[in-house]
Amino acid sequence: MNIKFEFDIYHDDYQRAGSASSEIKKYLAQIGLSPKLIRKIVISSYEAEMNVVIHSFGGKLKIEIEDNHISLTSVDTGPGIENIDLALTEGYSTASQKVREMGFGAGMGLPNMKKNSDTFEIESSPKGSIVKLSWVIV
Amino acid sequence: MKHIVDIHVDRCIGCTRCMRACPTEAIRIKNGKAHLLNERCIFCGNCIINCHKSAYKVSGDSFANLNKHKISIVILPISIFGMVTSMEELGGIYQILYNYGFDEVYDLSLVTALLKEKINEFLKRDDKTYILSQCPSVIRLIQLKYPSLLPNLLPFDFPFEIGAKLVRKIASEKYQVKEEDIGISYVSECLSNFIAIKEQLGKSQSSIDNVFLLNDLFRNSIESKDMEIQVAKKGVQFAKVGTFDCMTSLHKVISVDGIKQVDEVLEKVYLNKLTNIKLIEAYSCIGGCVGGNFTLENTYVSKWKINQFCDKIDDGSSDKLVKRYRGLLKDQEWFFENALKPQAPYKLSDDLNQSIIKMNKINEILKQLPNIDCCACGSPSCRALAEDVVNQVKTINDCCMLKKEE
Ligand code: SF4
Ligand code: SF4
Repeated sequence: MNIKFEFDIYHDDYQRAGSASSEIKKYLAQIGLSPKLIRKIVISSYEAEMNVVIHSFGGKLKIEIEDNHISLTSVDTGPGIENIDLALTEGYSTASQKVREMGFGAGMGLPNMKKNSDTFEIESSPKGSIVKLSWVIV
Repeated sequence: MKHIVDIHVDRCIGCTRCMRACPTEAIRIKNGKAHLLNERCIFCGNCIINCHKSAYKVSGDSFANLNKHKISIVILPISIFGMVTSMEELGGIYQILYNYGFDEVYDLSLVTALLKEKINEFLKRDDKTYILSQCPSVIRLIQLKYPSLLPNLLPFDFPFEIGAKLVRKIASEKYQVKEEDIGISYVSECLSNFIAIKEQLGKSQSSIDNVFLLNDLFRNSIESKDMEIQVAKKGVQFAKVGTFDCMTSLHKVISVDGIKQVDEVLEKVYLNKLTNIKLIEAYSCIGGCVGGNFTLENTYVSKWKINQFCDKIDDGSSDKLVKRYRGLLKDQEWFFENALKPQAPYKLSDDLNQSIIKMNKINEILKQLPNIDCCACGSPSCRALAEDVVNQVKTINDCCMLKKEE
């Protein structure tokens, strides 16, 4: 059995930022995953969503459940991450002062995603970034 | 769960107001009448407030019950201080209760003053973010939507339950009768507390024997009366949101009121975005308990009255009262008896594959619906109708817009 959800995420849309993750939370509870697993997925999807809002020109968040496997993919249209190793360092951020004043962009996005997922992959070029996370349902 | 909120079918016109006001999608309109899905209800009372036909019926217990015990005691909610500006006015309220046949009246300020001390002590244990809720609706919201935050909930029982245990001890000593000969009544300011007592939330048996509704008891004007009343000043402020803000030594407190705002703050805790906050104080009603749906005074006027009242009482007698009763209850009597469990009323099936099949069907049906969330079908959104169709409680023909197109 498999199921897919897809969400459009817009650049700079701070008003609705986080709403895709809220919906994911609702759907996963309906499907009946354990609260612990749901929280890991939702924390990760929130960070992914915020990254697209803050750093990209816009993109999509996709979540798919197949057999005992859940994958979350965020795809955006650029401008890409200059230095992935640095971006993976806790507290490193390229977010503007304005964004930080709103309480976002603390430089914990990618590290949080990595910490909360079973597998974590990232690819980036000036054309855009793809972050893929996955979990096993036990 | 029993049906505690009844709907007068002859009054309900199926207008969908209550359904749209419900934060947890717990209401459906079927055959033109509102129906409640009990397992999704968080007792917030929004449906009652938003019904313009007074179709919701909640009934307090009968005064005849007072004869079942040798001594009848009534406990007033902390929000009672939102109705009075002086001891004399409070005396008027006491007089009304004596007239109803109660032998003695207590209020909850002593309990909340002691509770404040207990909470301060508890918070020193570790660095966790704790959620303080004396509001059963917030607790239900956490059980339903944020079960992984249950360990962050302060495990203190509701003030009215603690109060009932305390008062039972005080009175059995005073009147020299057995504890079971004392009947304890509570005057509830909201649906939330009312149902928490009736449903024994967090315990096997409530310490309260009868519950009355505040707006039922004090319909007539209140006359001032001189009376010997003891109030613990430090507990009075608990009636409104923001009590813990005064604990400035902490500077790490967020006080939030209104169920939608509470939901948003809880989501931030859930996402680990508030780890530097020590305490979240949360109330379902706007303004805190003074905003309860059975209160009689405007929330903001109530807040002002509380301050007026507090200005007139001295700290000394209050401190003496707190000191006297500090050790009366055993430590465990302050806490919930049973751990609060996660609830999953939205789960489509117990089997993962079945859930996924159902979810796919929901998505298919949703594609056929207009997605304008008009609610005319009697479900709170197009998606909710799709869910109801898959759960076989509605059919796609319930959609009025599809019918129109035909
Ligand atoms: S608000 Fe709800 S209960 Fe009241 S008349 Fe409308 S549908 Fe009926
Ligand atoms: S009390 Fe609140 S949660 Fe329950 S049905 Fe009414 S509006 Fe919904």
